[in-house]
Amino acid sequence: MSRTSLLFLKNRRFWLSGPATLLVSLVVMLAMAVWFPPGVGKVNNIMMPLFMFPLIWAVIFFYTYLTTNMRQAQWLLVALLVVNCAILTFKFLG
Amino acid sequence: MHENTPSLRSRAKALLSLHSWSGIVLGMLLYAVIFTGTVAVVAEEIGEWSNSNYPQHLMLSSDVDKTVKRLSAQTPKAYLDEISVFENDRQQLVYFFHTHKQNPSGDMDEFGVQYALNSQGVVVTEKTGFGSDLYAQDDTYALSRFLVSIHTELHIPSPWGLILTGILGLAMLIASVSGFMMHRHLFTDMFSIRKQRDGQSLKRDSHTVAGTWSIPFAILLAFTGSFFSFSTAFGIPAMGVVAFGGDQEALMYAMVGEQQHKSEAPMESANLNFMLKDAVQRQSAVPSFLSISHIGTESASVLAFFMPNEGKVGYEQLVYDGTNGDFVEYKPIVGTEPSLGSSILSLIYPIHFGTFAGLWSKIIWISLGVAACYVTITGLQLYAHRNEKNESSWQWFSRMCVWGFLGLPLCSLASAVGFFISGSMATNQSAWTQLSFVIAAACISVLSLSIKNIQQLKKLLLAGNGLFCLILPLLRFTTSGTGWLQALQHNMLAVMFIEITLLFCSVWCFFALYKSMQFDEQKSKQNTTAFSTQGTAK
Repeated sequence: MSRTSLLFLKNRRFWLSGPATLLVSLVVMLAMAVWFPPGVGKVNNIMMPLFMFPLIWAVIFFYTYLTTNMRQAQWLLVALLVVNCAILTFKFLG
Repeated sequence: MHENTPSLRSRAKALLSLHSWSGIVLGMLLYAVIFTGTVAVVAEEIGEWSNSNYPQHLMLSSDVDKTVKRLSAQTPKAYLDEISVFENDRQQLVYFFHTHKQNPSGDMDEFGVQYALNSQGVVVTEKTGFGSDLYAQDDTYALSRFLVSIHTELHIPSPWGLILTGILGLAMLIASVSGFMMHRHLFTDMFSIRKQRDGQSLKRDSHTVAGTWSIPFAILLAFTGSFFSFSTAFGIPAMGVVAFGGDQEALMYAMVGEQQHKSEAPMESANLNFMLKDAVQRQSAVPSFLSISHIGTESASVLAFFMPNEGKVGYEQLVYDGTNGDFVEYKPIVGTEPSLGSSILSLIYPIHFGTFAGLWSKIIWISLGVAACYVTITGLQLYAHRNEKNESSWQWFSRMCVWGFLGLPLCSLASAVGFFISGSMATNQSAWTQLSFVIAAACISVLSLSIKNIQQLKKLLLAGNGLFCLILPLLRFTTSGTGWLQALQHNMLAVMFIEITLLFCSVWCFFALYKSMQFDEQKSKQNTTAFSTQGTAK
């Protein structure tokens, strides 16, 4: 594999739109199981995050890929990650 | 991705780059999933066609109650927890007496004895094992199961295959959404094939037109497909960890909507035939399967599952009290009460599989699937052509495109040939269906590497596809003895539909071959004329 073909690994946007977006979407999906109302059928908190996972991922992906303000996007992802991790921590340890 | 010049970064350019790369990096795999997905739309019909079968509604013509009682007496008590009853594609009624336990892979599975009975009620086969293994070894579904499995998992071990197809779904979502966002004149692009264009320019226009028409379909399928892959691979177990603290059994009961602890006190069950008759009357259709739980106990219940009916979009599940035969409720797909989650899920299934209006919706879904295949093919061909112009080393990419685009349909057809031949020789059809695919793939790969002229390779593969499409109906007829007249007499819609489609594909392949030969002839004539003109001038 040539050196030029691996140049994308040095690009901050690649890491933000790729692995970071995937991680944040996963954590948001998992945390939704805690705060989403289960409803009378008691399954909405399980099913709705699963339905919404591709949607959440797509929204974050297109936002981080198209934004011109990388710093803002970076902080938004950090904020989403921290808030949702806190929800999960509270669920397991609280 | 030009991070250092964000202000100059054109949004349209960024979208075009995203659209191209999402297609190029995973294009060939995406084509494999879309092509087999298009085939999978008619998986049920392929199952019936490959067995020359038509639904006989054996549940109505046979005495289910009497058979269940007879088989219960000879089955170990441990397997009487649940009984699944369904009609297979070989005119047999299958009764699977089972309990639930973990299989060697660590997943909750059904385990028990499966009886297959013919229309006279005689036990034809009796097998014991896990439900997943029994299904995987069942020759009845060898062909349809093999083709569907390429679509869902690309035959990669679980959960990696599902994760990969989930990622491909996301790639398709990127390609279609970026394709949608790129259009400045969406409605004009729907009809923008310019008459004076030919060659690559025509291909570019065709790519845009087919892509624009199939954008809503592609977005819907990419979204629902990635949901299916991810939720099966890790989503549901992960949700179980968060919502139920890792108690997978509690999660299963919440999803299936059954009480965790049921009374096992003995009590005579009501007649199953009456419940079946009532369900048929309510739905004006025959159930796809019956699930009889805890028969002969205080908590006996019967669930009748129906595919989408006339005028309805989603699946229907009718629940009966097994002790007195009373109708209890229309059960949601998940949970005990109707919910948003259950409603969305019951819509996602028919949207993804195209089952909401019978064969008509399936035909529309196949057409849109073919359009999506065409978009993937032309997208990759355009990329190959652009690079070939600049560097001759990019010829391998064009070769790979021909290998994949024409090779995959040929391998799929070869697997069907393997299915029929192994069936007529009474050997293992499940193994030979897969093996035929692998042998065909190896032959096509060798040919792709050895034939230097790409056009020649393309013609050979086109001819192979056309020939196999023509051979398959004949092969089915010789192995089953069921001809078209008999198929028409018995209203074997699936058989007729698949064979007409195969013949249509065969005609298309030979027509494409003829056009390609005609084009080559014209080209060689032009070259000869150019040479003779040059000679005269000299």
